[in-house]
Amino acid sequence: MRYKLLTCFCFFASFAFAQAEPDLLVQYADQINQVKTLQSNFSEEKHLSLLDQPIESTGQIRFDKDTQQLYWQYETPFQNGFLIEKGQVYRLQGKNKVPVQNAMGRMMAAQMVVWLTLDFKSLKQDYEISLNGREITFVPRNKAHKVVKQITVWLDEKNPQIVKQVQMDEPSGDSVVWKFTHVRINIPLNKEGVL
Amino acid sequence: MMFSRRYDKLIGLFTLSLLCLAGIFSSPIEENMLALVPQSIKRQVQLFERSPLSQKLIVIVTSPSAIQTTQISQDVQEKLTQTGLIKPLVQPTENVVQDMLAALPARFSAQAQQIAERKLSAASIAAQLTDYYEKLFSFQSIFVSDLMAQDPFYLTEILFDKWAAIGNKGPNTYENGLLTNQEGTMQAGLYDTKDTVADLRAANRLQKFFTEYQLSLPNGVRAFFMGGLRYTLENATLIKRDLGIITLAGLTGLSGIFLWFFRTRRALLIYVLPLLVLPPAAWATQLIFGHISGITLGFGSVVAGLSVDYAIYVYFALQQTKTDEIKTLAQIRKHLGCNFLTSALCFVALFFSSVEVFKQIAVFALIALSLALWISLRIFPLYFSKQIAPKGKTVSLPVKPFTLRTACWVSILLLVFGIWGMTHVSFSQGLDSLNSTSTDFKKDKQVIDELFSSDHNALLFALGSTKDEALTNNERLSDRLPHPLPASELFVSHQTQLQNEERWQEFWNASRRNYARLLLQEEAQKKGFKSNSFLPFWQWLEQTTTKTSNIDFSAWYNPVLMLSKDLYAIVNIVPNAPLYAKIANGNETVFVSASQLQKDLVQGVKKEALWVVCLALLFNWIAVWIVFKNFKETLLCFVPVVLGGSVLFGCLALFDVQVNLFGLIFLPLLVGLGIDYAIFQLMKFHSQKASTNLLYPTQALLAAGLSTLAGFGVLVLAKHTVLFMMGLCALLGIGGAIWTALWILPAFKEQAI
Repeated sequence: MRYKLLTCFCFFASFAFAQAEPDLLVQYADQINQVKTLQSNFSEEKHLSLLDQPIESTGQIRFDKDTQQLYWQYETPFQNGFLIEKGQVYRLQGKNKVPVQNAMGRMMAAQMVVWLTLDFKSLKQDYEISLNGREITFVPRNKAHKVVKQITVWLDEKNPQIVKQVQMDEPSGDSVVWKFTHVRINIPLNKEGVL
Repeated sequence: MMFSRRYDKLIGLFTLSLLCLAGIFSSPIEENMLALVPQSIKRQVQLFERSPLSQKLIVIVTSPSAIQTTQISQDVQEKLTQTGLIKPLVQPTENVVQDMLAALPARFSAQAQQIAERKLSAASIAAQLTDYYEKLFSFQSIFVSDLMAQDPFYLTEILFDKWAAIGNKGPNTYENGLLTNQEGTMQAGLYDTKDTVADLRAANRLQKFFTEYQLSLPNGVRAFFMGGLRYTLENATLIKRDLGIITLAGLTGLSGIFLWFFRTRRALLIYVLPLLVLPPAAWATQLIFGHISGITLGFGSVVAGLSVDYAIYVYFALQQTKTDEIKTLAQIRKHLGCNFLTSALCFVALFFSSVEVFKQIAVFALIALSLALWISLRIFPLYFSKQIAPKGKTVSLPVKPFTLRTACWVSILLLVFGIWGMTHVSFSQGLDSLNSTSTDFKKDKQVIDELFSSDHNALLFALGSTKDEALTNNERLSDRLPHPLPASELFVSHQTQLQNEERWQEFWNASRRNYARLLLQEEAQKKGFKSNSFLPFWQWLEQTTTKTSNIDFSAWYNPVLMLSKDLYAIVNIVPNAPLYAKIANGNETVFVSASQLQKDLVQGVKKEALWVVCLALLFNWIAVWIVFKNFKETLLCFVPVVLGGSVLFGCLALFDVQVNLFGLIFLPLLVGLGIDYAIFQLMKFHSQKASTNLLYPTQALLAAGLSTLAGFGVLVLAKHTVLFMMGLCALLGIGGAIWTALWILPAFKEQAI
C-alpha cells in the first residue's frame, strides 16, 4: 500500500494521465511521451498533523527515459534521496549510494517504473482520472485507500509537456505539494548517467 | 475345457496373483525417505524433512535488474495464487505498528526489558526523534509518519529485529516471504502449496505453468520452481524415460537368452514365474508392515532374477536327464534347497538391519523366493516333464575353465584389484545422489544454493509432548546459549507469556511513564512537534492489557511443528557451529546440520551394510558348512563372492564411480548369488562322480546368470542414479561371480576335492 504512495512522487514527470475518453488527455499523454530527458529543481512542502508548522525541503531531479535512470536528490535542509540506475535502487545518503535491499523499497521502485514508462493500463486500474483545463486529478478507485485521497497535477499553461505542481492529499488530512522550477526537457544529461 | 484342465493350477496362480496386485494398489505406495535411513539418525532425518523450509515451494526469479526481478516476483506470485497453485499469502495486518506493539507485552523478556530501558534514556529519545524528524524530509517519510505517532520510542524494533533474525539469513534480505540477494537480481518466494511434495500431478501442473510463463518473459529473465515438487517431477520424468529403455533392453536380453538356450514354448513359463510370485509376496509384505515402499517394489526386479533361477535349473534337469521325473526332482531338490537357503539367509541378514526398507525387502524376497521354489518344484514339472526338442538348434557353450596355475594368478590379481578398489572407491556424501536430476535442474540448483547456503546454517529442535512443553523446552534451551534464540522470544510458552506481561506492567510504572513522557515532550518541542503528536502511543499504553495483536509471526515461517499427536518441535535456525551441536542431547534437543546429516547418513548406511554383509557371510558359512561338511568346499563357495566383489570394487574405483547408498544394498545379494553359483558347480562336480552330471549343465548356470543380468543388469542403462547404481553393481558383481564360477572355480574345485 505504502509503495503506491511513493509512486506519487513521480508526478513531477507527470507522464501518467492518458485515458481513452477525453481527446485532450490522450493528446497530453502523447506529448509527455515525447519527453526523453528531464531536469528540474523542486520544492516539497509537507503539511503534517504531527508538526506545528509545514516543513519545506528543496532539491533536484533528473530523469532519463531511455536508460530508465532517475535521480531524486533533497538538498535542503537535509541531504538524502534515491537513485534508480540500471534496474537497481539506491538510497542516497550524502554522497554515498546504498543499495535498497528491502522488498518494500524494491516494490515501490517497481511501481515508479510503471509511472515513468507511461503504463496507462496499470494506472487506470488503480485511479479514476479526470481533466479540468491543465489540471488533472487522480482519485484511487479503492475508496478505502489509506494513504492517497487524491492527487492533483498542474501542467504548464504554455507547454503541457512540463509539470508545474503536484499535490497529494491524504485521508488523514496531511498533504504534500511539489513545485517544479527551472524545468528543462530533452536536454542531454551527464554521459555517465543522471547522477 | 482341455486347456483349462491342463493349466488349471497355473490359472489359479495367475488369479491369485492378480488379486494380490489389486490388494497392493488399493493403498498408496510409501515414498517416504525415512524408510531408507538407519534408526540411529531417523529422528534427525524426520525432523529435517519436516522442517518448515523443506515443505515450501520455492519460486526463483532472476533478471539483470532488481526492479524487474521484483516486478516479476510479484507477478508470478499473483498468477500462482490466482491459479490455485499456491495458498494465498497471509496479508500484513491493517495496522502493523499497532499490532506489533500489542504483541510486545507477551514477549517482553528480560533482554527486551534491557533494550527498552536503553531506548527510554534521554540520549536515545533525542536521537530517535532526530532520526524521525530527518526522515520526514526524505522520501521515507511515508514509512515513519504513522510509526512515530504510535511508537515514538521505536519499541517495536525489539520485535522486528527478532522476527528478522529468526531465519538467520546472513547477507540476504527476507521480507514478505521473499528472500532477495544483495544485488536484488535474484529473488526466492517461499510458498505453501495445497499438495504434498510427492504429488506428481501437482508437480506437472507447476511445470506447465512455468513453461508457459517463461515464454512470456524477456530475454535474460528466468522464473522457475524448486523444492520437493521439483525433485518429484525430476525423478518421475527420468524414471518414466528409463523404464522404456530398460524394459526394451530387458526384453531384448531375455529374448536372446530364450533363443540361445531354450526355444520351446514351455520354457516361456520360466519367465512367467516372477509374475506369479512377486504380487503375492508384495501384498503379504504390505500386510505385515502396514505399507510397502516403492523401493521394495523396485527391488522386485532383483527378486525376479533370483526366482527364475529355480525354474531354469528344474527345466534343464528335466530336459537333459533320461531318468524319471520324480527321481530327477528328488536329486535336484537338494541343490535348489541349498540355493534357497543361501539366498534366504542373505535376506535374513538384511532383516537384522535397522533400516525399514531393508526389513521390507527381506520379508518380500523371502516370501517370493519360497513361492518360486515351491512353484518350480511342484507346479512347473507338470509342464516341463515331457522332453521336447527345441525348435532349431540351441547353442552349446564351449566353457573351458582355467588351469590351476592361471586360476591362481588371475585370483591374486583380482584380489589385489579388489583391495585397491575398496580403499579407493568413493561414496557420494550427498542425499542428492539418491535423486536423479537433469542438467537444467543442476543449473537451477546452483542458483538456489547461492541463496540458501545450507553449510552456514543448521537446525536446532526443541521437543515436547505438547506444544507448550516444546515452547518451554525451547526457552530453557535459549537460556543456556550466550545469545537467545529469536524463535524462543517470539513464540513463548503460556507461563513465560504471563511472566512477560507482568514484567511489562511493572516496567511501565507511573514514575517511568511520567519521566518518559516528560523527556519526549521536551525533545518534541525542540523539533516543532505538536503537543498531542504522540497521544496514540500513550492512549495505547493505558489500554495495553485489553489489546490483542493480529500479527501472525508464523505467517511466513512457522517454527512450531506437530510431528505426531504427542510430539511437537520448535525449529530454530542457528549457525552451523559446535556450540549448538554440543548443547543438543538428542532427547529434548536435536541439532541437525544438513552437511553433517548427509555424512551421518552415508556413515550409518555404510555401517548397516557392513553389518548385514558380515551377518550374511556368517549365516552362509554355517549353512554351506552344514550342507557340505567340508572346510575346503565351504571355502570354495565363497570364491565367486570374493572375486565378484573384487571386480565390483576395483571397477568402481577404476572408473571413479561415486557410489550411492543403493550400491551398498546390493552387497548381501552378491553374497547370496555368488554362493549359489558356487554350489551349482560343486553339486555338478559331485554329480559327475555319481554319473548324474546331466542335472547340472553349464547352460543352466549361464542361462540363470544371464537372466539375472538381463533383468537386473540392464538397469545400468538408466539415467536415474539409483537404478543405474543397482544395474552397474549387478553387471560388475554378478558378472564377475558368474565368470569366476565358470572359469576359476573348476580349477580350485578339482584340486580341492
